[in-house]
Amino acid sequence: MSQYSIWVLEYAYVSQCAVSSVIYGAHNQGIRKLPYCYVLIKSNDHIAMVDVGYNDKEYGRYISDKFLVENWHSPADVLAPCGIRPEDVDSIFITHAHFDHMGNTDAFPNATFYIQERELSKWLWAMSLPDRLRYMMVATDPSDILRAADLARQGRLRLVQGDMENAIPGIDLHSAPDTHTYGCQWVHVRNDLQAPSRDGWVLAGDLIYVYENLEGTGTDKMYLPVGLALGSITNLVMTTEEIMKSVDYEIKRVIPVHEERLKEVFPSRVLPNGLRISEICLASGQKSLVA
Amino acid sequence: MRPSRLYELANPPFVIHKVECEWAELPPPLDLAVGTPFDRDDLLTYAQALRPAYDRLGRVIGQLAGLFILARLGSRLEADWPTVELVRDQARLTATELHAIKPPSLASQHHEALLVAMRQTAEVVDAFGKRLPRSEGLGEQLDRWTRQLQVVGRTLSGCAVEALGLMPLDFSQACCNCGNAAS
Repeated sequence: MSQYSIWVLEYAYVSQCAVSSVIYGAHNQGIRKLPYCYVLIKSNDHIAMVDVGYNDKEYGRYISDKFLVENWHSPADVLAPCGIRPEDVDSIFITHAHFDHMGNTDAFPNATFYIQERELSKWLWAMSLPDRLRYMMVATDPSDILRAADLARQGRLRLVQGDMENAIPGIDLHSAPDTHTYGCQWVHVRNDLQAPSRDGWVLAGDLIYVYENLEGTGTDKMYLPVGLALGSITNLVMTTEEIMKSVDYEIKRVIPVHEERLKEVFPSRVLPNGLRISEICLASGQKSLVA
Repeated sequence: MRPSRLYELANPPFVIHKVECEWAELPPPLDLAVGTPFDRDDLLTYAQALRPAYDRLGRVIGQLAGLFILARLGSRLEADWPTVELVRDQARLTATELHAIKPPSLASQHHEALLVAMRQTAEVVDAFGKRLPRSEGLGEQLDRWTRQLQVVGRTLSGCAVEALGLMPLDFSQACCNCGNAAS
């Protein structure tokens, strides 16, 4: 019996993204659509999310003008077709501290947020470096840390040190230090609540952008890392192996949220606003949102 | 009806709002508003001089916020303490640079808002710097300082001028989401 339903919810997209930004070293390989998504995980007892996107109010016009991000919608709009309001969400797992993953914490007034302590402490280190080293804090927004401080003030922030089993029942957080960022984490949903699980799903954040990161581009299967590693490529590839091992090397059970082809792998529906819902799995007795 | 700019409230009398008051969320009294010709040499020179301090002030706020989180939730405050010294040094450098800038008249309010933000930040840095070892009542102090930093953060956001390269977040480098800037 599956405990959780999982949906990938698109909240914006880039129509023309360079392939080299999602696959390391894939220069001059053209462009593709890159959806921006977060993940909704729902059981009878919990409504959880993986990441929260960014807040268009802060940077929206700049981002859309400069980086061609289109069609941003608020969490209230994106969650509405699922019958969920942002205030219903109780747990949010932040995979890493980039602005497009933790830039909209304010939208979820009742949720407890989980982030790796290392992600925070290493960003602190990065911010303390001389100006000439500011590349080390690429794509992070100091005001997101300020918002996190306010979450801590409200008792709604959990600092995770390494791996954490059962952050909520059946959902484990796995640390991936020095990979895409200093303190990334990936989320393993054990949908049968068993360990090891035979019904597991991995929400990998930006450790895996697209299916090519898992299966390569040619006939010889191999992992190809994502296009940005503040840590090391070695750590990224070895984390990919760890992720794959956790789902018995079944690629379909690793969900790359920036992958447009999710709609070809999972039942999906494009809403009138042009954004997609992909239904990864349904809990027992749960109604489909895409049928 | 809610005024669109704080300075609309200011003449006279000037009103001081509590941090939690919604009026406090209004942007600072910017005179670099819509219609400002951002290609003026004096503005460009001002922004060029300002940017290192503007960026660093954001990083100081971020570091303080992160240290507050660690002080509240982590067990490493003592281990992280040398970081506080770095923040203090950065804050001093930033204040020195901000005071050395002579803004053009068009940007005088903009500059003044940042000086106020810097002063508020320095107060927090100094007060926090006196709180080791961890002692009773630290949580309440952190609450107050967090709110104070939120005001500073809003000022910094309000002082962002995209056309002059003053943005709280550096988008200039590539990653998944921003790797294909068609600039």
